[in-house]
Amino acid sequence: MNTKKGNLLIVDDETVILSRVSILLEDIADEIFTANNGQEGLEILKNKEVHCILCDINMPIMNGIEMIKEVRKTNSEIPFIFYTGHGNQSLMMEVVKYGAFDFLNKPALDNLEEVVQKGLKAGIGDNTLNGDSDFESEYKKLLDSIE
Amino acid sequence: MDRTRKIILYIGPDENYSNNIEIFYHERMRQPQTRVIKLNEPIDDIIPYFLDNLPNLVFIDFSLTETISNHFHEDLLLIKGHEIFRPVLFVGLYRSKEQLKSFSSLISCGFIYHYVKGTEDVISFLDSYYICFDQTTPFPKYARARDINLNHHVSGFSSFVGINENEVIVETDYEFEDDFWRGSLDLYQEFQSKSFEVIKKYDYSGHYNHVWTYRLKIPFRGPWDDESDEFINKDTHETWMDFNKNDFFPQRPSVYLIDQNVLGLESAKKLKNSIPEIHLIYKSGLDTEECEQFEVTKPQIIIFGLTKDEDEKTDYGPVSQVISYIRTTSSLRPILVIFSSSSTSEALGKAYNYNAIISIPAPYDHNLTQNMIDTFFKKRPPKNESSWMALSHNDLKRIAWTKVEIFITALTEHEITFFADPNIPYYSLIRFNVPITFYATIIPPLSYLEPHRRGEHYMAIINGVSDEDRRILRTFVNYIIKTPLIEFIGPKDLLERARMEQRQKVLHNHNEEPSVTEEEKIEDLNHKLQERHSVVRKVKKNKRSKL
Repeated sequence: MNTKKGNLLIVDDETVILSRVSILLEDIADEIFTANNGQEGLEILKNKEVHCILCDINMPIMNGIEMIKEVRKTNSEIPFIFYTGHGNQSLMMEVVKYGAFDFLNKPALDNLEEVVQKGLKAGIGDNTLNGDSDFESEYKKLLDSIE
Repeated sequence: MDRTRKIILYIGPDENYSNNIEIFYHERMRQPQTRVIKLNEPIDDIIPYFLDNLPNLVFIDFSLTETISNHFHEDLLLIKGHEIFRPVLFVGLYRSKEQLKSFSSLISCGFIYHYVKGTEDVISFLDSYYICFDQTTPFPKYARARDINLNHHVSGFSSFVGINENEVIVETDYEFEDDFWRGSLDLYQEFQSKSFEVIKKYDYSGHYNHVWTYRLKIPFRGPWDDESDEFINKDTHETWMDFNKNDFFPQRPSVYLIDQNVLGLESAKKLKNSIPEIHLIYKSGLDTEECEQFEVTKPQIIIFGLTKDEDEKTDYGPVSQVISYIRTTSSLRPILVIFSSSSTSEALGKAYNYNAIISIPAPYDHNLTQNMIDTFFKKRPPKNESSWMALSHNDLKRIAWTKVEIFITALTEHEITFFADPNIPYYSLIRFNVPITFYATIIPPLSYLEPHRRGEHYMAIINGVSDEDRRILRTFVNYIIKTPLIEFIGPKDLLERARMEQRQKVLHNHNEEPSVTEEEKIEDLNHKLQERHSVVRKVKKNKRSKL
């Protein structure tokens, strides 16, 4: 049984959010790294093994969109979970072009643990079902939910 | 399609004809690199031959065929609906005009040129060469009746798509600016109306090889309306709809496959036996106007095969367009399945605020698509709740006619030129009933045609005629070169007029004997008209050598 939880990188210019979220997620990840902007986040990625990134979109120096662009240039498919505030639809639509894993609404951060756990699993490559069946079961759930 | 490479596919049993195609290209047109592939195979499953050979030009010889399946029509529509294959020319070959008429359902599925086999195979080679490869190739010189300058109306091939208690949907190549579609449908005897109020016009054709779709109001007779054929009794219509349910089938649910990949065609063909109607859109996406077709087709699943740009970003533009359109409707909520997608379903659902998205990072997969469609319709079997009824593709009742007013300017036995007001796309097919019934395919003109306040000036190649028909046309052209017409009339009327003119001349100059040449003219015309009914075909090689 795979006991590895994975390492999480949290990137946010608001120190309060960084510390609060780190505490909330300390049991979800093996190690948690933090950065204040995209630039710092990239530096961490150079030296540490990270399996999932939880990232704000709007940040000084380097924002979330620029960060994911740079990460994807290295052919890394590491899952990105973005915080968004209300009304950031156009930024979300820009970000998805680079491959986003999920979005969480600030400040409520509903389902934070569940989403991050899924992101870490995806980052480790812990798929307990094979590729096609994942989609088939996801599809069946979708059909049930919209009936 | 690359026109420098020439691959011609002939499907049929006539070795002589197919060998002559080769001779034509290799010797007459001096293009030895042209590849002519000859197949004597059943035509029911044309897509594999097509994908194996990727022809520019396809001749299908129906002369020994008795019926054509709905399946064949569907394959044609898939091919012609695929943007990369749309320019492929399909030529139909028939044993007689009657056979052509019985197979005329093929016209709105992509056959725009027809040859009734006889002694003039070269005309079919030349015309198809002109349409398909080289529009600078001159036609042979035919006697030309110029300055005809006559009003006439013709029938533009159109297609009935569906009907319910109050509306009918027609697809056509003709755009009209006013609020009426004028034409006729062949649904049942009492359905004689020629003018239908337009509810909505769409700039697309989702079912057949046309350009426009019209939703039309059935003109029911009101309490103050007269008894003319322009109106239909509502109870007659309802009774007919009820009695003829078995000839129709309810509008099938729709699934769209929006994919630039050629393989989409093969997959769409395999999916055709599924419950829904599969619409294949071979391009990256649909603009807002094109999305309006969803009002009629009401898709329940839309499948995208996306692409990445040079920066490896996934282009979700097509998805965004479709979702923007769906938001403007209240009843549409299809599931969107996205292949080659870099973001997850959850992320996309939140970004686009649309919770019915399945995102798959892998490229398009047919088996997965088939499973999803089967699962969907197992969970949600169609309830036949649609009130729309449609006909099979090969049902001749499906043929509709758009009335087009034209002003004829010139005529040869081979081509006709005319002005017309509606904007008619090239390669539309229209039907003339005078002086004989013939089809004319509108083509880019060989030489410049002067425009006029009457409208655009068009040229069309005459086709779908027999050898006898060509003789009649020739006679007709020769006649009107010498004797200008005051109306565009048929051969019987022409003969009657010639007789009347002759009688008047005799009465006017009662002592004078009719000129021998006039008498001979009438006899000659009479003889030629009688030849029309003869079953003997005369080979006149010498007269045809200029071709």
